[in-house]
Parts: sequence; structure tokens; C-alpha cells
Amino acid sequence: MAAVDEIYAYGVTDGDRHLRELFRTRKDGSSAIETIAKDVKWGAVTTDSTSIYWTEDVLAGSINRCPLAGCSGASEVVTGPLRSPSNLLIDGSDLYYVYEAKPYENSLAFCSLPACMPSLPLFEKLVTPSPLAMDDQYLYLATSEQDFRDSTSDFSAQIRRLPKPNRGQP
Amino acid sequence: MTLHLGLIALCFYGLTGCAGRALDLDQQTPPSSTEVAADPSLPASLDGVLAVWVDDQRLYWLAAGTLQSCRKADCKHTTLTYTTQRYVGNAVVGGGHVYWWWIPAARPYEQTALACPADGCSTTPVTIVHENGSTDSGPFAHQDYFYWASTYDLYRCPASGCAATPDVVASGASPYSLVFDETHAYWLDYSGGISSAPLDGSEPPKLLIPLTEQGPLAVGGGYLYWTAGKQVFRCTIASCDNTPATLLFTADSEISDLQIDGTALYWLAANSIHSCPLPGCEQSQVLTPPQVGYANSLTKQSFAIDASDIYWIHAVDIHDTRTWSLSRTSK
Repeated sequence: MAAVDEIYAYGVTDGDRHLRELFRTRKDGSSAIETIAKDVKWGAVTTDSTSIYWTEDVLAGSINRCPLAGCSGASEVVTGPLRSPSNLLIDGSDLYYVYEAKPYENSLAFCSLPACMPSLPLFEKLVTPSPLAMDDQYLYLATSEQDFRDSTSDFSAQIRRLPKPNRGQP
Repeated sequence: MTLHLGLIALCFYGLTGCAGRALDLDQQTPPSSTEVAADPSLPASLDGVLAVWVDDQRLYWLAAGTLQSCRKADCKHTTLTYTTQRYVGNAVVGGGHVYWWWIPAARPYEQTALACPADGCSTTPVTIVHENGSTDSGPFAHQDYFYWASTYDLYRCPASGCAATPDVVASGASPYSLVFDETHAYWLDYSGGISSAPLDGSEPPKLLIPLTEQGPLAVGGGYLYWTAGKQVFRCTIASCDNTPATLLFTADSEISDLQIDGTALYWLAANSIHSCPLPGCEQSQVLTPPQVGYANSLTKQSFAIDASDIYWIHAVDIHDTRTWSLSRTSK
């Protein structure tokens, strides 16, 4: 629910559901809180060198973006509608995101920025919530054959890694 | 029956302004319970009636997790059951379909909307949508669509079921009550005010009336009607956002349900159903004894009207929901 870059920390305000705002503030505390976008719905946040991206984690959700300094009007929809997009990562021009490809079943997909054409899922049956990590070569994620909604004390999941789809490409 | 034409209205309740005359309704003595006895041809001894609906052919009711209907002409011999699932969250009838939320016992934050044709589920109910959260009001139905308020948005799906994601009627909307005309949806939002949007969500929602109170809405004849406590206001839909609202009348008690047909306005107050003729609402009458049971807070559907009659939840003992039945009163 938060992101940082070299200078700023980014987050979403809590409170009334119609009053959430995406904001940033300098990490050294030397700036006031700046509003980047208003009327943001619950989701995850990340940045690249020019923009901030977040998921509108609702039933007819989307991934949106604004310039790092803030949107002058409405945010731009990068891709959507997506069912409950809940997490995202940016790696160069590749955007990885988690959404419900089927009801209550999280999947990992990716697209190339800035256009972000929808693609088929890279991996299905992710646990919920769905942590994501990456290094230079791999993506790391947690999956399970069990339905997380029926989780009991013997619920088991696997940490998997998969090669990045565009690895080695210019 | 007498009416006292009242004051020139002074309008409050967060309205930006309003005008017109106020009618303080001094109504006739309500009919006694013996004057409107329970109709023996309608269902009786229902365990906790939560809502009632009616269309041209059938009468529908939700009671203790059972959603049923019957043909109005011969209810006793034509009753059919859509679901007896214990965890029916709520239901709605419209456009020839019956819809209901089913909530799994072990997953109270999941809901699945199911549907059947109004004349019965010949096969397994159609799955309309899986919803990840709970809902604060409704659901609602209009034409061939099922509408509901999700956590942030007002959505709809066709009666045949949704694709991967529902249609967004209005983003950032949280309706307390919702009504429709041929082209638009109108809702009183939990965050305040009456807003509208095209049924297909093709335009952003528009705030028509800033309000601080929440209550029932009705739409018809080019007017939008709403309540604030005991008062009923209206505005011309085409100019609601730029002309003062009119205080139509002030009832004796707080109004908890408001419905309209082509000729009259109907409301529930102090456990009785009242009506007055449109457009002016100059005369009112009390149609039922003070034995109308309150529907649950989501459907707010204590009574239903068709071309000739009003069907209502008849609370023989208002404090004992096990004794409730359905009654019919001529309009």
C-alpha cells in the first residue's frame, strides 16, 4: 500500500471510502504532503522514473497512473477493466500485476508499458494476498493448489520462481 | 377525509432551496384491523417476511431464507419456490426475473447473485456475479438487469449473467436507495445527496440534490420524489439541479417507504400505508390499519403495488414476526 523512490514515499490516505487520496512526501520530511490523485480506491502502489501506478482493487477494477508530480485531471487507465487487481510490480517497461482471472482465483499477468495490451495470465492459483518479488532474472510468487478460502491449519503453499518473460530481450 | 392546506414551505434538510406549498395532511382515522382482515387466499403465518413484490401475474415474497411466488389469481395452488437456501442474503424482482444473493455460511464476505425466470427455475439458477464484499443496500432490478452497490461502485449485470467484470453504472457511488426511469438511475447516496447517471454508465454521475438525510426515493411522471423525515419533496427531473425543490406535503409520522404508479403516490408511515393522487397530492387517504410490517433495511420493500391493488406485509402482531402474513388492499 506504499511505494518509495530515491526522494519520495508514496501512499494512500485512510478514512472515508470516497475520500481516499494518493499522496507523496519527501522521505527526509522536508516537504509537505502533496496530493497526486483524488478518489482513489483501495489498491497497491508502485512507481517508475516518470509515473506512479496503482490498482483500483474493486470488482470492475483497473490499473491507473499519474505523473509523479500528480495528475492535473483524471488519472490515466493503463489497463482495465480487471477483476480485483491487487498487486503490481514494474521492471523497466514490463508491468506485472495480480488480478482475479476467475472469481476468487488470483493470477499473475504482465504487459509492456506504456500501452499495456492485456495478456493471458503467466501463472494461476496464486495465494491471497499475493506477494510478488523479483530479481534480475526471475519473478517470485506464492501458489497453492488449495482454495485459500478453505484454509485450515494444514494449508500449504509453494514459493515459485519463473523466468521473466522478456528476459534477454533488448 | 380532510386536508389542511398548510404553510408556505420553509425548507431545511440540506436543500439548496425549495419552494411551493406545504400540505399538512390531516388524514382520516385508519381502518381497523377487522376492516382489512388478512386475505385467506394469500400466504399466512410466514416466518419473518422480509420483502414483498408484485408484477402483472405474480406475487413474490422473501421470508426466512425462502423466496417464493404465486399467481395472483390462485395463490394457494400456484405457489412456487425459487430457493430455500438458508443463507439467502437478499432478493429483488424485476423485468421478469427473480434475483437473490446467496452467502456461504463459512464465507460471509462472499456473495453470489443468482437468478431465475419469474415463472420458475426450470434448471439450475443462473449465476449473475460473484461479489467479493458485502453490500449496504438493495439489490435492485430494472428491465433485464440486476443492479447492486459494491464497496465503491454501482454495478449492473444482465439477467443472463456477467462477463469477467460487471458494467459500471457509477463509480464512487454508494446508494442507500435506488430508482429508475427509462434512461437513468437515481440514487440517494450514503455520502449525501441524490445523484443520477445513465443506466449504461455512459456518463459520469451527476449530483442533482444535495441532502444530508437518507430516505426512500421514487421517480415517475417526470418528477423525482424524496423524503426527509415526515416531509416529501419533489423536483422536475429536467431541472432538479438548478431549480428549487417543492415541498409536496408533510405527513404525521416519519416516512419509511415511498412508491409511485401512474396516478398516485404511496407511502408507509406509522405502520400504515397512505396514498394521495398525483400530480398535486391534494387529498390523502389511509389504506391499511397500522399493521404493516417493516421490511428488512436493505430491500425496504414493505409493500408492492400493481394496477389495482396494494400487497403488504401484514403484521398481525407487530412484535412477533412469526405471525406475519401477506394482505391485499384495493388502491
